[in-house]
This record gives sequence, C-alpha cells and structure tokens, in this order.
Amino acid sequence: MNQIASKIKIKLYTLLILSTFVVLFSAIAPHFAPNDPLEINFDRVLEVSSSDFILGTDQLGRCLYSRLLHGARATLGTAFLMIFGMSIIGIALGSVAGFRGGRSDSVIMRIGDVLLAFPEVVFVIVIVGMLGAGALNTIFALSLIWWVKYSRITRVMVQRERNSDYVHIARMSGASNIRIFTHYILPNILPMLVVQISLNIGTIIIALAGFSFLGLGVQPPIPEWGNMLSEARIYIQTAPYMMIYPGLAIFITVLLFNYLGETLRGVLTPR
Amino acid sequence: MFLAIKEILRLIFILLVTTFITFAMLYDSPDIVAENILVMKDIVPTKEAIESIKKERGLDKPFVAQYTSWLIGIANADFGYSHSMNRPVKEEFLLRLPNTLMLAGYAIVIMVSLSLLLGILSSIYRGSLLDRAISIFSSIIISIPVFWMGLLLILVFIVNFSLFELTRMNTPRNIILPAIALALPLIGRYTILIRASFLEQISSNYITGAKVRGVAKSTIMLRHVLPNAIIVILPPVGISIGAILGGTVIIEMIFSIYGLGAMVLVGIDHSDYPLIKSFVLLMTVTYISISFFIDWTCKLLDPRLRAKR
Repeated sequence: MNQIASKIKIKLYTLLILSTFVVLFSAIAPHFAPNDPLEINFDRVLEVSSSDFILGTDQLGRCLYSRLLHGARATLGTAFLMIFGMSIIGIALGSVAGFRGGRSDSVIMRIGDVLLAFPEVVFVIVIVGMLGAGALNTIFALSLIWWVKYSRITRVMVQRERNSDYVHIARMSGASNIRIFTHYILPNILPMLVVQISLNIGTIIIALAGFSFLGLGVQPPIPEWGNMLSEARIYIQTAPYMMIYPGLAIFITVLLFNYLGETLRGVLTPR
Repeated sequence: MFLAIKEILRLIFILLVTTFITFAMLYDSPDIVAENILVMKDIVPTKEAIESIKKERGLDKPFVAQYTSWLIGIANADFGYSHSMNRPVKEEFLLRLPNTLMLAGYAIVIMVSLSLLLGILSSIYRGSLLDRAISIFSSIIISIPVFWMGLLLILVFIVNFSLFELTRMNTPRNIILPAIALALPLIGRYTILIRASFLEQISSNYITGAKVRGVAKSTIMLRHVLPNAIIVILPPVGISIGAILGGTVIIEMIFSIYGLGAMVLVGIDHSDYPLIKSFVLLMTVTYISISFFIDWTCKLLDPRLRAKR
C-alpha cells in the first residue's frame, strides 16, 4: 500500500515540476528565439529545417522555431490569464450563492443558467460580433461562460459544508461568517477546486487556440500556436511540417496538463 | 402536470432571455437596417425613403418593441437582409443548412456509436490489454484539438492517400472525414465516461444478485446495465451537442464546407449583424431544445429524478 502511495507521489511531483517548467519556460521562451519571429525574408520562403532555421521557415520566410517560442507565451499566457480571472470570479460568486442562499443564490444561478444556454463557440461569436476580434475579447467571452461552471461546483460544496458539524461548532464558539468561510469552509473545498482547475487547463488552452485559429483571437502577425496552424492550413500540400510543429506543441502541453489533472484528482480526492 | 407546466415556463423564460441578449448585443442601428432593406429592393436610400421604411417596419419604436417585431419577423421566416452575402439571410440559410445538419448529424452518430462500443468493450474486458489500449487511445485523442485533428486527417487521407476530396461539392461521402474529425476528441471523453459508469453498475449489488440467480451475462448487460448506465451518460451527451454545434464552425472552415459556420465567419468579418444574429438564434434555440428534451427523457427513464423535485 505504502509503496503504491509513494509511487503516485513521485509521479505527481514529476508532473508538477514538468508543468511548472513549461509555464515558466513559456514566459521566458522568447529570449531563446534565435531570430526575430516577425522578420520577413522573401528569399527564404517555405524552407525545410537547416542550420539557419532549425524548424524551417513559413510562407513569408519567418523563422518557425522563433515563432513557436514566441507563440508559447501568447498561447499559454492567454490561457492562464483566463483561468486565473474566471476561476476567482466563479469561486467568489459560487461561495456567495452557496453561503448566503436565498435571493443572491437564485439571482446568480439564473444568470448562470442563461449564459450556459448558449453553446460556447456561439456565445463567443456573439461577443466578438459585438466587440470585434481580439485576444482579450475572446478571453472575456469565454470567461463569461466558464465562471458559471466554477460557481456551480463551489456552490454545491459550500452548501454541503455549511451545514456540517464543524461549522456549527465554530459558529457556536462565536466565529463570524467571514471567519467561518475563510478558516473553515475554504480550506476544505480548496483541494477539489484545484483538481477541477487543473483538469480544465487543457480544455481552455484548446478553446483559446481554436478561436485564434478561426481568426477571432490573437491576431497575426503576432505568433500564437492557433493562428500559426491557421496559416499553415493553406500550405498543407507544399509544406506539411508547418502544421506539425504548432499542433504538436499544443498536443504535448495539453497532454501534460490533462495527465497532471488526473493524477491530482487521484491524490486529492478522498475515496 | 404542474411540474410539466413549470418546466415549460422555464424553457420559455430561457428562450426569451437568450434571444433578448442576442438581439441587444448584436443591435443594428435602425438607419443601417432601413438602408439595407432599400438596397435589397433596388431603391436609392434617400433620407425620406429611409424614414418611411423605418416607420413601416417599426424601427422608430422603442428598443423592446423592436425586439418583439424582430421575433415576430423570425416567426414569419423573415431573418433580414445580409449585406455580406448580398441576399436575404433566409435564402443563404436554406442553401447552407443541409450541409451543416449533415455534418453535425454524422458527427453525433459517430460519437455515440463509437464511444459506446469502446466504453462497453473496455468495461467488459477490464484490466486487459484491450482496456489499456482503449484508455491510452482516449487520453491521446482528448488532448488533440479539433482543428489540428482536422488538419491531420486532411494530411493523411487527402494529401497522402487521396482517399477523399476537398471540394465544395458536399456529398455525403465528403462529409464523413470532417464528421470524424469533429467527433474524435469527444469520443475520447465519452469512452472514459461510459467505461466508468458501466463499471459502477457492474459492481453494484443488484448485478451481483442477478449473477447469483444465474441470469445470462449478455442479458445482464443489455437488460440491467445498459439502461441504468445510459441515464448517467445522457446529460453530458446533451452538453456535447453544444460542442458539436460550435465545432461545426471550425470544421467547416478547415474542410471548406459550404455551411452555416463558414458563413458566420464571413459575417463577422463584415459586421453583418442580421446574419450573425440569425445564426446565433438558430444554434442557441436548437441547443436549448435538445437540452430540455434530454432532461425530460432522463426524468422519464429515472423515477428517482421525478421524485426529487
């Protein structure tokens, strides 16, 4: 039994270190780029990998390797910005709904019902149709839907904890509502929320890259893995490697975070 | 009876609010709407003409009145005029809707049948090599974005082996590959879900009871496990219909399918509000109706859900 537990722990720590490394590296990756990702070079269009350009060049002669490194920052940066913003809003509103109940609960939940009635992509189309394309607008639109999922989960958990014995005892010993929430309920629901967030990182990376692929998110010439794939689409016959690298980058990153989420769930969820 | 009325009222409430949000967010200024109507009728949009059209169509009325007249127009199949397509939205929809329906329909059929097959297989042969292979396959295809899946399938099946064609002729044969691309990432998710819910049923007491009584294994699977597992699987399948409807936009762009999703992308580029609005309305109403239908089916199948409310 102990051996299995320590095995899972080693797996978890390896995955945690790997994903922290990916996140930190994506932030500083542009500094490792050998070339300017925006530099156009019409003499060297659609070249395969060489000593000058490690991964070759695209239709404008730009260095694919440099674009991939710069794209890491845009892709993961937007994803983590969104996860950070919408999970805080979702958890806060869900806690209010679950803890206070009554009218604030029903108002928050009805708003959520309406927002979730739109298919995700369709709702983003509404927002982008209104505000125009752009990375911030897609993040805003997706967050507007995603916070509902977190507030629903949080609400159910807070409701369950609110009526448990330890909260009643805390209340009897004179703890205020805020103290009950921050010192008693929150520490108990936080592990499950962390699991939920880590399970969703991959989905969110894919969703945001998808909107950039459609031309609604990060706008060219700024490199992002989704819009790089969009440009590669036209050259699929002449330069298929152009669509392999950004796709592989997304795939490996998402695989890593999904695996991390699954492992975290195994460790943090009580059986 | 009372519950049914309450549910229907909830459905109507959600439909009204979502359509109102759509209308308010994609609100076109009355002048532009009137101008488009005039252009459609080949009339020079003079100031007087615009004013008279605005009066005729009720565009000078307050916002909420305009919303209701928009709804009434849609009830009469009047979706407005699309300036980017240069024809009424309705005509454009009728041309493109069959392709999108075919794509989404194929994708749903592929998704449900394949994930049921894989999920049931891996729960029956739990712990075997097949089970492991299926679970690795699922976790890999979950991590592949729909748009990359589409490109990979094009690269392999169209560029390398030329088994299919990329044309604007959207014959059923040419829709198969896009539908597979759309369904695959979802298949991964549902295979895992179906496997888990089957395993949960198999290890429950009533199945042990049936085994003790000597009921045949296949009968247990079909008569006991399947109906109970389906109740667990149905709601998430309903949610994924939304993912499929949204995914058609991406897939239609990749495979150059002449459908509604490809149309709305053009509409966004041209700020063609009547077009975007009608697309959003159609997709949202479809999705809401399917969700409610599945909700009701679950309640019909599971007496416990009815008792709860």
